[in-house]
Amino acid sequence: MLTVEQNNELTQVGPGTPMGELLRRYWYPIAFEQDFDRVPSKSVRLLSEDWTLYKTPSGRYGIIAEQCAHRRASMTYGVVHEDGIRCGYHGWKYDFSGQCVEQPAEAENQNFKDRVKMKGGKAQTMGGMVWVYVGPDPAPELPRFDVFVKDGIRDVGYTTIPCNWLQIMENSVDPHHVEWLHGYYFNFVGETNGFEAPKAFQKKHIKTGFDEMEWGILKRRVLEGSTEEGDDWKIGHPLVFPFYMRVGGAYIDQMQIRVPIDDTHTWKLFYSTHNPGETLEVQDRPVVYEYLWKDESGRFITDYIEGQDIMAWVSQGPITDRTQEHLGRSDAGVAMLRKMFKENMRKVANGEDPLGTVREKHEIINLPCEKDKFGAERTFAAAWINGGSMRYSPIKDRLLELHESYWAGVEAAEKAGAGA
Amino acid sequence: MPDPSSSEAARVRVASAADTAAVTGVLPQDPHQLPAPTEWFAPDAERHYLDRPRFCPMCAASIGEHGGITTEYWTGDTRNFMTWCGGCGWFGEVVRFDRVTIYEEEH
Repeated sequence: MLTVEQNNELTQVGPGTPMGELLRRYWYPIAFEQDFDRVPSKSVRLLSEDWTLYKTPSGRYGIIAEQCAHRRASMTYGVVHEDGIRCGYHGWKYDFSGQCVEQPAEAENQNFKDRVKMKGGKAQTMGGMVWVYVGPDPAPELPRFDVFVKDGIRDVGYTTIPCNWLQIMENSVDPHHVEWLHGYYFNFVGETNGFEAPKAFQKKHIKTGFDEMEWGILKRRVLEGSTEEGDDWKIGHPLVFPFYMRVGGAYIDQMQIRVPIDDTHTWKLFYSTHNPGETLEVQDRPVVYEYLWKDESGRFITDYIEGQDIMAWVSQGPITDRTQEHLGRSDAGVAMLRKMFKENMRKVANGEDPLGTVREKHEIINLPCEKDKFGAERTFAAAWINGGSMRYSPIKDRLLELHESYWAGVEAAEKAGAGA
Repeated sequence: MPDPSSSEAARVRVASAADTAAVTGVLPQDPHQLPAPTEWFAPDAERHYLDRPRFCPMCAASIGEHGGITTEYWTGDTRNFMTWCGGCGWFGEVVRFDRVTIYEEEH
């Protein structure tokens, strides 16, 4: 339970708010490379501000506040140059930093343009997505987390969810919801609708643990039938501060990404890399698809894992009223996450880098993540693909075949070994 | 001293009002500070507002004024306040209970 002012502080992401200032110290994916195949610019919203993201003819990306500083027309309908973007209305031109460099209708001998600077940020690509940084200089390095840069077949599911990003993040330090929402409730939905829900998610939690680590909070669990020697406890997986969760199992590596669009909207992505075996085709870009979470009658779609999550997040309301919550012992991870946010807001207020700031150039950041998920071993990949948002992937059948082929090979090798 | 017009100063003012309420046992008059009285869980929210720790058990700094946080959770009738002090960094729990209960390990 929190007070009103604590809840406001933790959920408001606009400029000048403590959380907004903290969140402006990180890079966010905000578009896909293919968004710029037909047009060179796109309107995006991030941290309660509207931006124009653009790509120059030679492939460099820039981001600038959407409304022109002159008469407020949208820069998204501007003219993209190699060295910046020009407003379509009266031709004011801005460089990558947002500095106005040309005002065609103003006299050349005046320094008016020097006084005009719009908000600008940094933009670059990684893993088929366009990432932006809109915080103060010097910008940190874009963290090259393993899922985005390792080999494998990649697909990315996305949607926009009408709720605050924090209630999604709190879900990531709430292990018990898995056995209930994705186990017991999923089973109920299956019985009601005539299908069999995956068994891997129905196991009871015996023990959960949370460790603060250099990237966030490492989450561990012991499920019924397993021990502390199992991957779920021995390795676990992390909430990556402040807006990711790294999960995986059975040769699927996934980063769940929660981009705070504004106080009441979140761009929610599931970036998956499938890498069983060694002979994988090379993709130019990840396959991108939108997954559904409401049916034609307006009801939440709850017959798959992420649809169940979205029901739980969105039905709390646009911003969870934490003055009305009743946390129990199993919610200790939620309280720990709130403390981590407060601690890092304070660091930023003191001029320090917050948790997870990367200043060193690097090739890859490997995150800890279990391989044998829920003790399900080879059945987990198919359960996840069929029972999760990947069921909407246009390459779903190809992915199932990829994993089934790998495990068939393992079984054949085991049989051959046993017969030798 | 913080700039009085800054958001930091505003937060400090709010926290101070809350702390005063806890000392006096009187809830603030500003209705924004609490859920409406007709809300389902208003009594628990009131108790949370009045009972949460206001000072760090380690360094005695004000939790509110030093940017700390207290999150309350329940274990049966026991009320646990997971507390982080922004002053000294102390992180732990302050527990309120009406009865001390000891659970014996199986023996």
